[in-house]
Amino acid sequence: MIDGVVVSKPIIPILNNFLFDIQNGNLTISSTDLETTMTTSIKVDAKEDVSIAVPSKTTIELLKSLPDQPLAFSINAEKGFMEVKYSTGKFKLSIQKGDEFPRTPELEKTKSFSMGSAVLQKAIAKTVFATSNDELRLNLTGVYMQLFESSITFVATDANRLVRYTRNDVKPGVEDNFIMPKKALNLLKNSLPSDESEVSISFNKSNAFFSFGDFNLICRLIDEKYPDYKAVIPTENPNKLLIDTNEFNMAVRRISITSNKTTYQIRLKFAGSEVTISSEDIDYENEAQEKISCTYEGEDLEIGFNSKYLSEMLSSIGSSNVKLEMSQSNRAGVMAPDVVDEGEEILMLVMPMMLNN
Amino acid sequence: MSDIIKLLPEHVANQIAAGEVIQRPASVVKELLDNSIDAESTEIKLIVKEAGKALIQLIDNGKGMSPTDARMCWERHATSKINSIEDVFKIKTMGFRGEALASIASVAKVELKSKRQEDSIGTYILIEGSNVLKQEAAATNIGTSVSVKNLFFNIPARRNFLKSNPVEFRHIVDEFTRAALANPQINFELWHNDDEIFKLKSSDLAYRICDIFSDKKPEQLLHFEEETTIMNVSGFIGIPAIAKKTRGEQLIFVNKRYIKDAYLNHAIISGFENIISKEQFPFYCIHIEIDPSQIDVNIHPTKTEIKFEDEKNIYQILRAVSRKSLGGFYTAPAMHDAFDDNNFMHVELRKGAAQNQQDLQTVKNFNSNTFLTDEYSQYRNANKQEKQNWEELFKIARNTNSQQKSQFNAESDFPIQQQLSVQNEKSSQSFFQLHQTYIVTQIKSGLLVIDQQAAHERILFEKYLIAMQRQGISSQQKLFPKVMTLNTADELILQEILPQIRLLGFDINEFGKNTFVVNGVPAELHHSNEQKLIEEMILNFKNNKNQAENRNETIALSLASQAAIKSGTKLTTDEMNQLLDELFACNEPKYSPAGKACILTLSLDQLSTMFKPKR
Repeated sequence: MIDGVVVSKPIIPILNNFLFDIQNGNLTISSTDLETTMTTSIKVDAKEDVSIAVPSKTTIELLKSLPDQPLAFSINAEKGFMEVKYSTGKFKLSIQKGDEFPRTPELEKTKSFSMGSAVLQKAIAKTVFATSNDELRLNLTGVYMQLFESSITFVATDANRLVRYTRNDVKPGVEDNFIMPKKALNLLKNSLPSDESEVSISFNKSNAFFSFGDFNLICRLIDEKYPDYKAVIPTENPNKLLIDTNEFNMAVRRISITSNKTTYQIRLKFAGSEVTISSEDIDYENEAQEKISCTYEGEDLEIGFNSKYLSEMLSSIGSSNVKLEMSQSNRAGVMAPDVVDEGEEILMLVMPMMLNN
Repeated sequence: MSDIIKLLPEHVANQIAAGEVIQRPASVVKELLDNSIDAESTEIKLIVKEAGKALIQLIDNGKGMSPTDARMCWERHATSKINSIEDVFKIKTMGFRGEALASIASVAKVELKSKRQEDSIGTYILIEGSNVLKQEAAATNIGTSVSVKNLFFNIPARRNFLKSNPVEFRHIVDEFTRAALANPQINFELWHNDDEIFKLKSSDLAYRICDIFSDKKPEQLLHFEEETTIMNVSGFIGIPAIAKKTRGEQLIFVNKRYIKDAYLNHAIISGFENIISKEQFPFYCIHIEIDPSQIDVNIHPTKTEIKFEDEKNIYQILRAVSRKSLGGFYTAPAMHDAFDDNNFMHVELRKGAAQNQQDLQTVKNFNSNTFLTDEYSQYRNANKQEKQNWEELFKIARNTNSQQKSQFNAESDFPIQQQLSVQNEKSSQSFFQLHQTYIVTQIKSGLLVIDQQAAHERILFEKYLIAMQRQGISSQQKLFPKVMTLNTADELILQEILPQIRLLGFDINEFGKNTFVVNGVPAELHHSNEQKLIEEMILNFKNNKNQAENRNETIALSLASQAAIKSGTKLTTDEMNQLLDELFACNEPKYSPAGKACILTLSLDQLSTMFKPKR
């Protein structure tokens, strides 16, 4: 018999079941897709130890529909059902035995460090959007985490754009690197508390283990080599733009309405203290043009970008003004916020789109 | 030493010469049919036994011959069809050399009965191996009847080389159908071993084709008729769906004479390019009428080859005709109700736009090759052009009465209204993806099934072609340039096609010997293996190297087939919607560039037939 309050937490409903594992009055709930496993544990008042797999969707729906109250679970593992009693009624659900549920991998030979939960959450938010969906290039589908003695760097790229986010206030104390899959990061981002609490991270060659509060997340790492991203970040960018982020982003989005529906190409033309944003869709004879003022240093320049990339980057840069540095119309544009938090470095890079003619 | 070179006896010389003309029973059939046609017969009956080895009898109701002519016709170089050498160059008749009957007579036992309309009694002649055994008056019908028995009775060598009866009979049928197709106004009959094989009533060409090729239906044939200064062309082209894997249904007639001409064949097939696959052969039956002085028939004994004075122009005309009739087919709504549905706004709008433009008299005589492309670009440019022409139009409108003015206004409003109604309908339009491979949607007359991969290939193919002709595709620069190493042969090919590939949005540069660096890829190909794409293109290009004129198409086809959405890819409703829109904006939406069908329609009638109870 279990008597306690189960809190509904966001857990991935994959493999269709949660594992309810009760050991010495401690309930551990796990779910896994074999790549990523999430577990949370809670103290319960249990008479005996039991391990069962319960259908996740029904259970979550049930728990969500109940007001906060103690629940009584009676489990008949032999006959394969579970009864949940609440103040005014009861549910009966069919269950499976827990030994069919895949085991959580054990981590050996790990290195570990810890960082602030809010910082990790921010780092994920800043990078994960730029990862690739291309299953042919697995190494780009995750975020590359580079650990140094006294800093940590997150890198994401899909070969068209790149984000590098560095924290100098995190001290991993080890030098290593690994590629975290995008899905686990998104789960992590949604479950991390946005406070000062610490997340402890341990990892070995094949898995990474994140632990915070009652939660654990274990995920398999992407076992690929990450490209040498540093080589592609241009250092000489004589043409510098400083512009209001929001104003720029809104203009880009407006103009992209008439851009080609498959390429999303827009053109930026810098001259004097003005940038002209334009787009045209030859198939439909649509075109648009807008001029906004900016601070620009350098030669007149015309450059084409994918407006989606540009807009996504502008949305996540998080500063009221943004710097964009470029050299030529076929070289990457380097974007950075004009002010950053202490200990933080953000660099975003977007490859231009060239029109042949 | 005595002289060893001697003059051949006449009958031996005739036998040898006959070998040129009379190679097999079918040759006899051809010569006799030619004669009957030249004799202006309206009914021709061919009776064959043992595939012509035992008997070939041809009965016609033509002009017939006088007793003298009946005797004379068996002499070599005796003919009614030409008088002087100049006549050879203006031949309107099928035969002209005066050799056929002499050749036949020299290798077979031949009986002839003939009577002219004005004669009261006919003539009977029996000839065996060139020797006239009998000539007498006989009762017979008007016209001529020729019986050829025991063919090659005196040349065992040739008899032994004849093929089996089915094969020889097939050749006879071929000759027979050619004559029948060339002259649909004549009644034809063919009997073999007392079985009726064909009984063809005088009709027009379409029905004659369907009578002969019983697997064809009139609606599967595209009619065309073109008059040019050089020649008149008319006939039928089979729709791509009835193209076959084997040759044999490609017929060209020049002045009613069947000819074989690989060059002209290519002209017609080229119209089918990228609609059917290279292994398929479309049906066609084409009549060319040309001034006899422009051709030379006398270059081959069997007269199946012809030399044209102006071969290049004829090629161009045939090619244009072929493309145009196929292009017309794609817009003919009556034939294919997929296009009859106003859910597909491009089709409807295109018509509206074109009509508008025509009214505005801005439509130029479009080149038939780019028939639809032009029309569609007109649709796209409709707004622009209307603006440009506004003033001019306004003048016209002002000059005419107000009724016309309002008519014009109504017409220019048409596309907008159409668009609105289409959009309303579109919101209720539902798409269903079947096995992540086919898109199923409802049309007015029933069900439309679209192969997503084939459809997308067609869309991309045409897009790439346009990109290569006009403006290029944007190239998304890559952060991590891909270095490719190629062998020398491939390197040369890549260099050859580099300008086209660049237009498609590949940013490729040479990077030392045998090495290339790919800096950018087409902006819409986000996730693809650029090396594989390029290698495939090189491979395809290598395979099709000979067709230099189709270089763009080869490249576009190769890229399209790789870049297209594959079967098994899940699509959202919006994506399906867009795919359909784009597909029906294509020039030839029914087939993928590789020749696969993109669209299948199931009408409500067909469905209800399927649901009918079995009896």
